[in-house]
Amino acid sequence: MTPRPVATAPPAPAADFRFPRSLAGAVERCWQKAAAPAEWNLTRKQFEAALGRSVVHRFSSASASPEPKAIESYLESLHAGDLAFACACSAGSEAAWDGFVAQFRQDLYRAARAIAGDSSACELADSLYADLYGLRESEGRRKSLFDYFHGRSKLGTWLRAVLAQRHVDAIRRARKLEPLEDEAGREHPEVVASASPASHAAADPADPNRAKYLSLVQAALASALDSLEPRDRLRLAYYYADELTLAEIGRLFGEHEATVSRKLDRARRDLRHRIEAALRDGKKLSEAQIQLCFEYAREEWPFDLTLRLRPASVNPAQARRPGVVSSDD
Amino acid sequence: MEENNFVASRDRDDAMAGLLRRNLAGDAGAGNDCPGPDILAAYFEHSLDADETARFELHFSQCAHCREQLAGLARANEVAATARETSKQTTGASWLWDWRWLAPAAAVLVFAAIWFARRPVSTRTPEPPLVAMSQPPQQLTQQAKQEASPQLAAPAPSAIPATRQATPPANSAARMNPASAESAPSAKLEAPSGNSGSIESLPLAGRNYTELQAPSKTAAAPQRDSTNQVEKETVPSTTESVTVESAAPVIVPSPGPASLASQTPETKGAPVAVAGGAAGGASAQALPLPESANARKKQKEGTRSLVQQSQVQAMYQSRALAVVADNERSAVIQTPDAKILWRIATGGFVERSEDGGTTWQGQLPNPNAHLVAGSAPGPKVCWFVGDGGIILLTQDAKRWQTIRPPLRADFTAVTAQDVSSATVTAADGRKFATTNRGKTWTPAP
Repeated sequence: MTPRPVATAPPAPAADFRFPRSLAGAVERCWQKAAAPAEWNLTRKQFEAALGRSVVHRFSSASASPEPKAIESYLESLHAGDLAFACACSAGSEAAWDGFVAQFRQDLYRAARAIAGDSSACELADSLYADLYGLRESEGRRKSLFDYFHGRSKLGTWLRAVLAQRHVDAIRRARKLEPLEDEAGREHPEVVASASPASHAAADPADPNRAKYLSLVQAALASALDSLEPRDRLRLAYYYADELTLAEIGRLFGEHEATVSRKLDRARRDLRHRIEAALRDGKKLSEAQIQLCFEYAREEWPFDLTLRLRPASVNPAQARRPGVVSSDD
Repeated sequence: MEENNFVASRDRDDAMAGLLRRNLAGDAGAGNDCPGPDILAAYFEHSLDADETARFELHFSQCAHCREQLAGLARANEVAATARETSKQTTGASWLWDWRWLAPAAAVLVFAAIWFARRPVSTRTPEPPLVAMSQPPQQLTQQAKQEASPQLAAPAPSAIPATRQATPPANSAARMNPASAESAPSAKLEAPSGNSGSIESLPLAGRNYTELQAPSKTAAAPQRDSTNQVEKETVPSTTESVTVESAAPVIVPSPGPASLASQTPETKGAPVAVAGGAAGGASAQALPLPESANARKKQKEGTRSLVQQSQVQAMYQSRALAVVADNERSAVIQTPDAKILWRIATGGFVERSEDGGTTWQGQLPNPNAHLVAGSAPGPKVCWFVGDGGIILLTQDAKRWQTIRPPLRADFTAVTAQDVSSATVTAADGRKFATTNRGKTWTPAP
């Protein structure tokens, strides 16, 4: 049985934002667009308060107060229907909460499974339910997570983002509690990254320059990465660090996966050329020495620092990565 | 020398992958400025304005924390989208079983059946033998003309009787170019095997495609009055004639005549449709008209069946056309049997040859797969790998099984030892091996 919100709970206080008269039309259009069913008992005042919070949140980082035109444009872009839905749920409308459970319950558990795996999915989704419902009270009123929904995306997408955030936060918190010997490496990856080649070199006395070459290639790469466009760097990070598929990256960037593939390839080639140039022109290494740099780097990476830096079970796909894995087949 | 350079370049690419993995995963995060879920969700939906998008992308590019959240969001969204799609399909199909539709639909069917059985037939003739004939409907001919490439759109030789043409268009260009498949579509009645060379493509196995290649013997076919030849052949049923799986045609990669011997015995003996006119007319009719209404019905069904198959075949042949026309075929994958080969074509197709590469037969194991490499440890066993964690396995050279990958990466190579054991190589160079058809994977050296 799903818990029902207490109808008597007052709605979240409105942000200190009063819409100027010039925006009355825009607010009215939002209200019409929301088309909140009567059984939600959502008042126009409650909805306006939610709109006000959203506007404050959006323009809080702006140095100057926003122009009415910018606010109007922002209001037009909001998902007013979902905002009203969240607002009614937060206000304690039983009908709205029933509608929410019917519409999103399955979706939430499914998303939780995709994010956290079967073992932690229920716990993750249940904790979200509790916060959406508003179990915590602050200053005599129930505080619902719905108050943090500002209508900038669909409600379903926002819920999935909240799930993802909670899961990642939990993983990172757990990581901090792990033994200190691991801590050093995880919190300061660059230390491990630079230390590891040296340790490797110690185990491989054949080439005393090994550690030096690895440091050079590492530094050249860091420099080359810094010079990349943020979008290119982000694309590479999604692919190599987060192991998203081309399709998933394409979804995030609004690009076709073939485009993603092409741009990834170009960025990788570009990086390689920059590294080679830096080693050749900056460090005056010969082609043979550059080749050694790459060879040592290639031999080095299978120790897979990534796995140590990554949460143990961010998702099922990642959980399958190391070692022996099972299959349903 | 060139080979050494290639190896060195490959090594550097491998090293780049590892370096990038290590460095980008090490992004420590951008402090306390991480945006909340509302921004992440809006970014994911591309709802942020350009300034915000640029600002947050800069942050995400340096913040593993946010990227992990976005990755989780992307995966969760994928699952939600799949669930919605499944739900739509279920909802979409359920109305079919609604009795409110079924009852009137059944009534209409019964009425149509009665009308069909009782309607007068003016075209009856007393000719006893059942003759396979081809009379391409005008509209199909026109369509085929439009679709066919210019060199293939040559009109049918006027000498050929419009209503009795048993041979395919013997345009040599059409034979050499698989595009002829478009101009000479689908439902074709085959002339007696010894005289006609048209091998038909009948996409019978759902995901198999086949392609027409007329043997050289057919070069003179249009000049020959084929009517008599056809009439000699008694076709028991037009419907039966097109359901011979082995009649699947083959792809002959190089221009030039293909041997009629490449047909399977079943194909040779199977009564199949005769090719339409040179312009591609395709509908075939079994004419000497049976006396009973039942026989007429059967004849109609046969015609309908041929037309439907012609449409399906046209679709497959257009794919086959793309497959053959492209220059991107991968290298041939050898099997222990020298005559049996595999190769990867475009559009998710793979092709198999049983005659050392003279002819090829296509299969579509997974239309969404972009396959990259394969390995065939047995005549009927083949592994393929591709982008997005795709691993496919067949044990009988017909049915395909999707193997769960060790990770969702793009795979670039596979080496299979047998039906259970294989080693796959990811784009970043990591290798994984399985000895139980992908139930478990272990990192390989």
